[in-house]
Amino acid sequence: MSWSKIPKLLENKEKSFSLFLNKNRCGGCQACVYVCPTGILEMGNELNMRIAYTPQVKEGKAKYCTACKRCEYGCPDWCIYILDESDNENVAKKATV
Amino acid sequence: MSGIGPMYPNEKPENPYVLVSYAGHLLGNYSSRLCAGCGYGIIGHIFTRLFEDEKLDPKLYPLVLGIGCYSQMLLTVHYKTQKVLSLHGRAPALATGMKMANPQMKPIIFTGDGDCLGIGGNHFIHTCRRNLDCIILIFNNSIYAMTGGQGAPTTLYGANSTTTPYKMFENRSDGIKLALAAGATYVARTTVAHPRTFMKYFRKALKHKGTSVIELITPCVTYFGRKNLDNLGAEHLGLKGEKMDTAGKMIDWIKRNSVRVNQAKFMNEEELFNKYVIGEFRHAPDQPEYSEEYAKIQKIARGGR
Amino acid sequence: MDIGYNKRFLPEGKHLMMGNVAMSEGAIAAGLKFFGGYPITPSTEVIEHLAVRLPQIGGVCMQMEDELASINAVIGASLVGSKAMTATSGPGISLMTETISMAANLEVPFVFCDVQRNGPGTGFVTEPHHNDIGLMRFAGNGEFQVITLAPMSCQELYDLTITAFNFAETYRCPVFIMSDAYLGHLHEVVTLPSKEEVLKRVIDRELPDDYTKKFSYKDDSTGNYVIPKPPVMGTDYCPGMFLSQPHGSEGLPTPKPQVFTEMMIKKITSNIDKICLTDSYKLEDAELIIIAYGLPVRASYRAVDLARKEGIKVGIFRLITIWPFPDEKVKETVKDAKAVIVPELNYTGVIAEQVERVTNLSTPVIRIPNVCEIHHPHDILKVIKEVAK
Repeated sequence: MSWSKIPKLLENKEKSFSLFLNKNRCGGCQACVYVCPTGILEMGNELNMRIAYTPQVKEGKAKYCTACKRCEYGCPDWCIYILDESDNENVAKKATV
Repeated sequence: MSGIGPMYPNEKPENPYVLVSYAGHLLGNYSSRLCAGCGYGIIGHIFTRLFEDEKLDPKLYPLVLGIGCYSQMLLTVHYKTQKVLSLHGRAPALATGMKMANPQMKPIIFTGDGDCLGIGGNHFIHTCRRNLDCIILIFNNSIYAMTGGQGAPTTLYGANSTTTPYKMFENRSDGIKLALAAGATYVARTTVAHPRTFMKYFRKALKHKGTSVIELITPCVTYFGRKNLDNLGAEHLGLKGEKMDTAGKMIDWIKRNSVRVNQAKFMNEEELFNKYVIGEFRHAPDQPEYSEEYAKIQKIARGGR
Repeated sequence: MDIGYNKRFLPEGKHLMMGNVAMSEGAIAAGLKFFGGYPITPSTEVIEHLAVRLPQIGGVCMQMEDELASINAVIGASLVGSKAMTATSGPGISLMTETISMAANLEVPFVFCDVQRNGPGTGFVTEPHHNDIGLMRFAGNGEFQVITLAPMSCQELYDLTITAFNFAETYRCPVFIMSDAYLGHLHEVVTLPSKEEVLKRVIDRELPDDYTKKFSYKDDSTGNYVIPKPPVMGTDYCPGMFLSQPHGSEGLPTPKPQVFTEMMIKKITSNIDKICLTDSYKLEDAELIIIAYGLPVRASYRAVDLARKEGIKVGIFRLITIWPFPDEKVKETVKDAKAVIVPELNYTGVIAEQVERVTNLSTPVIRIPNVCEIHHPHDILKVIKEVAK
């Protein structure tokens, strides 16, 4: 099987975490848009495989993401998530309860 | 394999909790038949995360599920759990038999609002009365979603469903008050919009010895959200509402309609009319528990040996 | 009622016991560890006796809030590895049918004792009436086979309960013991065997060597149905999920429900020679045959002795297993007979209908119905004499 890459919505190089969004599985329910405390997500204009609009980051707001993981806990299809690129203790790991 | 669900293309890097769920372990990919925006997707994710992070022993925590839309969670929980799908409303009775035959286990029961407070009300009351050591999770979406959106005992006043097309006029039943009156020892309610609070309550229930009842308010977008307006819990304010057709709007509505326990003490009955009161209602850790009391009876029967 | 024995096996020898108590002692000797029940006349003595005895040997006896909770608790205990049973009467079995059908799908072993009383509805609660035979065969929605045993005395209640537990462990289907209001309350002398003899007969719940197949399946190479040992939750020998839908041998849903339904029925009917127990009395040169089970058989023995003294050649073919009905054996027995007499404690003659089906109506079948009164030997003798002419 050939693997395709999941698109990265934003990447924060100093605190080394990235926000991934699995576009094909997203159902377009807008839970992540309403739950984000800094309000940096909005719905896009393209339809995906499930015939729904998928979220995207607002222009110029990518630096406000704090890796609080509220979008990850609130996604019903498990398709928006934060993964960290390095092994040392960083912001993304600290956000878990 | 028929009956498992739609299959999406394999992509990397995949969510680590998808690979640890039951369907993900079998097929390598997430697959479930839930609607887009269903609250049970959120709960399945949090439960799998708890099971994996706490490293719970699957032999000591069996899952007993009732019948409803949350039965689909059989495919999304952790792959190591041992699960039984029982009949509609009889999950607490099955868990009683399991616990008494093997007292080291602590069953985790998943039920719904119609399952637990409708057809299974009798078994729920008696399990709480006996203070059996188990965790009962009631998923309250105020509707019978699996069969197409019929009204439930917990549907809000004035709501529209397929069997109450004019408006719902019955008195709403409250699972928390029933559990408190029957004698459960750890009673709490929270919503899907507060996932970290749910994780905190669940960890407390794992350590608690006795019946723990945690009620979760979840959105059902397809049957409750699309047919009802935004101003459902706030009729006395006279706002103009719009339909809640996405999960984001419905989670917003749930957050607006929830009132904390300490704040509810100062509100009168008219303001609390169609709202959800959230928080911890009782935590009594040292009450006598059923299987321990039965072990004492066994000791007496053997003549004190 | 305090027996005062603190052990699983009562001392060897003769004891005076009531029918319900003999059945409870048989269950304890077979390894019963969980009983969930609800008091209903005429089976209340079972739960009263077990409430005294089961805590003495480390078991659990629970009185649940209704019949539905009691059968669900029994299934839960059986899933976790304990031998479990329940005892009830006609109205109780009507309530429990949905759970019996779920247990038949999941192949969970359990034993069910039905102490029958008059029906339909509430009925006269202390009178016997064998009216649940059809209900036991078709208990619940769906197609599946059950095993039903019909004892006729207190000694048989003790022995056949041990057999019933063995059948449940081997064949993994619902097993019913059919008793009734008079038999349950009859005090008789029961000879208990020694502890070693009972332990040799009992099949225990243990884990197999091979953990891969957990549910019954058809072995394509030999054509036989293989029934593995029941899975136990809380150990490694457990499928991923217990889902009561048509499944393959691993527990996952299968795309062919017909194969599954065929397995549900054929796993019992292909073993029918080991399950069907029968007994015969003076059958070698008999021209008239009496087919009976349960309490009417005791009157038939006396009637046959009196008839033989007058020269009428009559014999008894006693059914111990009622479902699955022993088609071949009955056909073989009645092939040379002139007539078949079936005394039953019900009006429609449920077993008489089965005999008519098997013999294709070529041999006349005469019923002796009686509701709420046991047969007197002279009633049966009168019918024998009429038919002999």
